Amino acid sequence: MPRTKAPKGSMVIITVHLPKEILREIDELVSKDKYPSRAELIRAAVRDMLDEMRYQPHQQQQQQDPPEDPPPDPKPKTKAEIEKERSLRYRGCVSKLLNMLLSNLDRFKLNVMQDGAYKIPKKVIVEFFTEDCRMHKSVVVPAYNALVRHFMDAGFSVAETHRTFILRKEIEVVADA
Amino acid sequence: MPRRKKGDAMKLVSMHIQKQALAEIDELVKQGVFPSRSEAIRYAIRKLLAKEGIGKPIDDYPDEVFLLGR
Repeated sequence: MPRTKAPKGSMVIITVHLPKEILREIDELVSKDKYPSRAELIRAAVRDMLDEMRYQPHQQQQQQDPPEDPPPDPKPKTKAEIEKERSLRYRGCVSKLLNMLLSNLDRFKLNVMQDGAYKIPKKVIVEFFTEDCRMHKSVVVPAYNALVRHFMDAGFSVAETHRTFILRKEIEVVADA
Repeated sequence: MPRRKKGDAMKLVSMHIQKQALAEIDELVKQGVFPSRSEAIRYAIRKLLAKEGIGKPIDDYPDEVFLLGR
């Protein structure tokens, strides 16, 4: 039985399906004594993720004792409020990325193809959504689609390959009067 | 959902976790950040493994056909 620091009452049992490969990697770290047990590693992983998800921009990566009391919960939010908050967050995120890409298009100059298209690695986009915006990858697709629509609204034609997002500025040809 | 590769079979693991942490995971699931508790925990583990320099980096972004045009 692994030792648990927290009193038993504050713990609950959960059951998770894990890919064998991940389990092998967990065991590798445990056998290197990086973590005392599988459970301890998983608890550390969950703690790290929740710390990140709480999304405190000014939080330093210091090992200070985090306050143990649960966050104050003034009144429960309705489903509609949660939904609205989420969609606002995602929309904010998409337009932030759009502006960032538009003002940094030069960075992708090296990738400008002969026909004048900009090639942005999808990795850049996905990393922004998952790392900067803390979006889970399951919601990356709708956000990506929204980004595509924004680019079209901004006058770009948009195409893609497996790993690359391709933008081409549509040039308005104004006929002489 | 990314397709699972052959040999990527799942194993059931039971463990203790802090009530508070589970409540926060459930909140993330409720908010739609993760589709399920298990997915949240798997994501957390993959992140930790990547940080430890073991396992694949998390870049298995979806391969769906995206809406494109103009």
